[in-house]
Amino acid sequence: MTYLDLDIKEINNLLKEKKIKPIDLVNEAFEKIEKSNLNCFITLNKEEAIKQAKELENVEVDNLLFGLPIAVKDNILTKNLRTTAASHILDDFIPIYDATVVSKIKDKHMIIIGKTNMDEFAMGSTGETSYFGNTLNPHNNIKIPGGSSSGSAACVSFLITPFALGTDTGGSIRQPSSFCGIVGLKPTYGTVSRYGIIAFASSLDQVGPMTKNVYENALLLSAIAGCDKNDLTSKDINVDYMSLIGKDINGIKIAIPNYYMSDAIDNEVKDKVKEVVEMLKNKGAIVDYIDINYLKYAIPLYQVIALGEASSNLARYDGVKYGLSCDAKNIDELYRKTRTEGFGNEVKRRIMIGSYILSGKNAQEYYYKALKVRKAMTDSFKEVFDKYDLIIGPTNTSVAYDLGTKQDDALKSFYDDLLTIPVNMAGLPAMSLPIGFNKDNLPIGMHIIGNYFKEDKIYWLASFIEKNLNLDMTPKGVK
Amino acid sequence: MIEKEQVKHIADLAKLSISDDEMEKYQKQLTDILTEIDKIVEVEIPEENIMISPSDNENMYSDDIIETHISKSDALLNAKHTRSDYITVPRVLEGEEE
Repeated sequence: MTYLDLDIKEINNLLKEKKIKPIDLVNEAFEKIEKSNLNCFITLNKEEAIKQAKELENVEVDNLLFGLPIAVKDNILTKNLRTTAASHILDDFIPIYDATVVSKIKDKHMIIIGKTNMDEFAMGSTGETSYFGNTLNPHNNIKIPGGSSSGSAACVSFLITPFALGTDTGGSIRQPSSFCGIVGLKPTYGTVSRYGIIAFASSLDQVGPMTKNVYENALLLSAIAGCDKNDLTSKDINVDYMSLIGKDINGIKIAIPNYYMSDAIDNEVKDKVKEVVEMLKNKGAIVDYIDINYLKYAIPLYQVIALGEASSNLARYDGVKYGLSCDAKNIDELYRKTRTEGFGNEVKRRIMIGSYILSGKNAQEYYYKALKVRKAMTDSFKEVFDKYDLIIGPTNTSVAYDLGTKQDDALKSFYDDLLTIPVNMAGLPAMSLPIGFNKDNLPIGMHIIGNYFKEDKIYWLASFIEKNLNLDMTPKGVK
Repeated sequence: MIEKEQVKHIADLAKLSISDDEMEKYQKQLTDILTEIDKIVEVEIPEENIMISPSDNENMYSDDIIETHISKSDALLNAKHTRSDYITVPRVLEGEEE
């Protein structure tokens, strides 16, 4: 008997009625990891998870997340549990404190099963830049799972754990969620504390929930959201993320940017989105095609802002305080040898570009200009939300493609994030929701973008589509 | 294509070394990205306002209370080279070897 593919309300009842114990769920998760062979995890937390599950046998079941296994992306600090960001430079790093999101899931008595594989420092869109090897897509083992939250997406897709945490700087939750057929949400910037997240680009990074359905996604977001005195960009919003789930959508106003349905997008992906749009219109939604200014500059904009911030954030890896430390005669040699040996190619490329565009007169020419474009693009989004509840389109330009494709193409990983990057630039919330498969049985994701702190409206539309499509997104042979 | 010297300069800024074998690869890849980035310079923007962060939070002030956050032993836990309460590093100042 397996339990982790059940609805979590059912699991919760079984726990309450003492028909199952948390240890049964933990054992099942570890059995599935053995069976899956997807390289979802960098570090397993087996001993501690079993210990924690046994302790919970004497604790009252006080919430829906109680005793449930969760997987945590390996750029989120977990006290006493190795955290590497999938980099050689941190491959023996043991955090001395928990990230705020980790404290919050522990407060709910969730059980951390392990730390999931990812692109190194969350830089990549295929999972292939990990120092620990790539993760496989559960739907097709020769395809990429997407990235950078590759292990978290594959883990939930394979039903190893019902929940995972990911991070999203330019699409790193939504893109792998789309490629693996799960529900992934990047919250509004400031919704979830970034304290204890290994920083990539501080004005873009957000932690978010990755789950197999919309309701469970909202539940996990409720658990991790909130103001934190250790992250001064975080905020208390007091939105009930569940309140609109299951409600009728008659009269909802939806915008589709023409840019999101351009010739750059795969036809099968567009057709699937159009099918859903027709269904929504038939159910009373008002849908208009619109233009949003400056979207075509999203990639160079991202390269300046994200890589500039990354070069600054990754300056801390110097071989002194933690992580890899190479033998050296003087301090400059220590920095150089450690960083040259410790970082992978994608990371090196990105911090070189970042350092360059922030140096000397380039700062004015590139970085300051990018801040202006960012403001203008954000204002364009705000104008749309004056008239519409939500923006929709495809999450990605295509479905999952073959592992090993264009690994040497320095622009590929940026162009993969064409449709997800603008959301991070503006700081808006957005979800990838599975809406079906292409002819090769690869999942297609729909992008649902909301106004600031209006995640409740995203869950509203997403739950409606989910109910009407009633899809089984489980990879073949998993159940 | 950017010059080899410029690639070396960019690597220096990031405190990285590039071997001769890697030079050609980085020359091409950095050129590709920098060409893409140049598009940002051409954007015509009607206004001069900037956006540094999506957050609109005002300053938050903490109460003036002493709290212990990280102990000395924890802070040194991941350092590779330590002596009593300190992290040690190789020679910083240039000059004659002792």
